[in-house]
Amino acid sequence: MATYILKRLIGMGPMLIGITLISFVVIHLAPGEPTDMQTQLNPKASAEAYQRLREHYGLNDPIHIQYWNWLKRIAKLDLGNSFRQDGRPVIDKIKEALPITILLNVLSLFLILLVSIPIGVLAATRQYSLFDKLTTVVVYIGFAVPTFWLALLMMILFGLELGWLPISGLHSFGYELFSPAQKFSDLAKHLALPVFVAAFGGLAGLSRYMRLNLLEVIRQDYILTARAKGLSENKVIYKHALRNALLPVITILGLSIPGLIGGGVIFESIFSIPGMGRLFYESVMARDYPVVMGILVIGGVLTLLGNLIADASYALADPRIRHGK
Amino acid sequence: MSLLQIKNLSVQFDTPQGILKAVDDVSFELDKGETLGLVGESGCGKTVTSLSILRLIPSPPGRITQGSILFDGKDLLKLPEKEMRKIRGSEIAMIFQEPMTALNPVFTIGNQIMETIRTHRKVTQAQARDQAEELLKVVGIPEPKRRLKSYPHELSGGMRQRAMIAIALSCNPKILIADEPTTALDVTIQAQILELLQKLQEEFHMSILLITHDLGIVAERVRDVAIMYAGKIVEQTSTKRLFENPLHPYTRGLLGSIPQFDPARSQKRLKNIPGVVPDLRMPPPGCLFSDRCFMKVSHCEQEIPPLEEKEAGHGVRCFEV
Repeated sequence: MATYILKRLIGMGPMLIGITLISFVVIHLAPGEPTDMQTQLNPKASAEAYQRLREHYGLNDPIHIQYWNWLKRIAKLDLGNSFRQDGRPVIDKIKEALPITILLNVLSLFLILLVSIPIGVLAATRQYSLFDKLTTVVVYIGFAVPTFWLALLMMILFGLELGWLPISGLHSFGYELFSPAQKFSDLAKHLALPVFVAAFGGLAGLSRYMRLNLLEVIRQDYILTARAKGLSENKVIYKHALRNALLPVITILGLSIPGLIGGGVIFESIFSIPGMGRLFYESVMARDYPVVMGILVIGGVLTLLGNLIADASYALADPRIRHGK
Repeated sequence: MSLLQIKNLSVQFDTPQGILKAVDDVSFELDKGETLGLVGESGCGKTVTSLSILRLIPSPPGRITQGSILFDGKDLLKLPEKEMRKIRGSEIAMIFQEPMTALNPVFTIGNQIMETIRTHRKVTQAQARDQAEELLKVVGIPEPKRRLKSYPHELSGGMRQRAMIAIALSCNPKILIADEPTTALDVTIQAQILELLQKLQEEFHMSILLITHDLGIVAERVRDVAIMYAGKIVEQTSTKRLFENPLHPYTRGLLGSIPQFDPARSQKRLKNIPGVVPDLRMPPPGCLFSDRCFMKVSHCEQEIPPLEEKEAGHGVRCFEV
C-alpha cells in the first residue's frame, strides 16, 4: 500500500507539469492583456507607460521564457503577485477565498449525502412504490432546474416575502462586534440558502446512483445466501447489501474533492459570496495571469490528490482491492 | 415417518410473455438421515423447488400457487415470516452452486459463519468464534484459526464451497439442501466435496436434498431419486432401480447419452435426445416430452399423463410404460 501511494505521488509530477503547461498556453492565447485595464482603457496612460508596464510584468518575453520564469518561481512555492492594481500576493487572495468556498461546498456535499443515501436506499427497497416514484420526480426537478433561477426564487420567498433569511454576502453589518454565538447564527443564516440551493441540484445524481447500486447488489447470490441463513430483512439490506452498494460512492466522493475548491461562478455571484468561483471569474476577465495560474495549480494538485485519496479509501473499504496488489 | 413432505407443489412466475409454470404439481418425501436426488437439466424447476422449501422465491414475479410443504408436521407455506426465518439456516440450510459469488465479498469467513450462529443461538461472540473455528476444521479447511480472518476472495473455489458448507452446518440443521454443490468445481474437487457431504451427513444425522444435473453423482451416493422435466417429476424411484430399469423415455434418453469409453463404440457419435425443451410460457397440450419422445403415440399430444406407480415404489409419468 505504501509503495503504491509513493508510486502514484511520483507519477503526479509530470502530470502536474502538463496541466500547468496547457493552462499557461491557453490563458495566454486568449485575446486581451492584463495591461489593458490600466492603459488602453485609461486615456491618461501614455504608450511609454504601456511599454513599461509590459516590461514590468515580463510580457515582452517569448511565451516559453515566460513559462520557464513562472515555473522557476513555482518551484520555490511562490505563486507571484497579482497583476491587478492592488498587486497583492496570489497566495493571499486564494487564502481569503478558499475557506469560504470549501465551507460552502463541504456543507452542501454533507447535506447531499445525508439526504440522498437514505432516499436511494428506501427507493431501492421499495422499488416502484409511491415513495420511489415521488422521490424520483423531486430529485429530477432539482437536477433540471437551473441553479441561478432556483436561487432567485428562494431569495424572493425566504429573503423578501417571508423575510427569514438574508439574501447575500456571508456576514451582517457589524459582524465583528457580535458574540461568538451570534456570529455562528449569523453565518448559519447566511449560508442556509446557498447550501440548500447547491445541494438540491446534486441530490438526483447520488440518490439515483445509490438506488441503482443497491438494486444491483440485491440481485447478487450472496444476498440469497444471507436470506437463506435466516437473517432478518433489515440485516440483509443494511449489513450485507448496503456495505457493497456504498463502495462505488467512495469513488464518487473522492472525485468530488476537486469540485469542493472550485466554486460555482454564477452561484457565488448571485449570492455575493467572495469565494473561489468569483475570484477565478474576475481574474480571467482581468487576464490576471498569476491568479488564474495559481488557482489552476492548486486545483490541479487537489484533483490529483483527490483521485489518489479515492483509490486509497476504496482499497480500505474493499478487501478485494486491499490485498490485490 | 418422513421429515420433509412436499405435496402437489406448484410455482408460477409472471413474465411479460405470460405465466410460466416453473414447478407443476411436484410431490416427494425426504426421510430422516437419507439423501434424495432431484435430477434434471437446467431450467427444469429443480432450483425453484428447493427455494420454495425455504420460501425464498422472489415475489413478485414468483408465487407458490398450490401445495404444501410439511416439515416436522408443520406446513412451511402457512408459517408467518418470522417463524420461517427461525427455520432458515437453523433447521433447513442451503448451499449453492456458485461458491465464487455466494459469499459476501466484504465480510470475513469468520464473520459470515458467526453471524449465522448468533442469529439462531444465544451465544457470546467468543463462543461463536470457537464454534466457527471448529466448523472450519470439520469441513477440512487447514489453519482454521487463520482462515476465520480471511475474505472470500483469498480462498479457492473448493475452499469457498467448504466455507459455505461450514455456514450451512453452523446450526446443526436437520435438512441440507445442496443445489448443484459441485457444478462450478473441477472434477477432483467435486469428489472431495461430495465425500465431505457424505461424511458430514453421518456425523450430523442430516437429511440431504441433492439437486444436480449429473446422474453420475446420484448413482454413487443417493438412495432415492426424482427426475424432473419441464417443471414436472417424470420418474421417481430408488437409485438402484432407476439404473437397472429406467422406464420413462426421458430417463432412458438421459442414461443413453452418458458418454461410453468403450473402444469398440468410440467411433460412434455421442447419443443425445433430439429436440429442445418446450417454452413453458406456452406449453403444448399433453405430455411436455411428447415432442422429443421415441415412444410417442397419438394421444400423448392431447392428454397429460399422470404420475403412476408402474411397479411398487416406482412412479412414472408416461402412458406407454
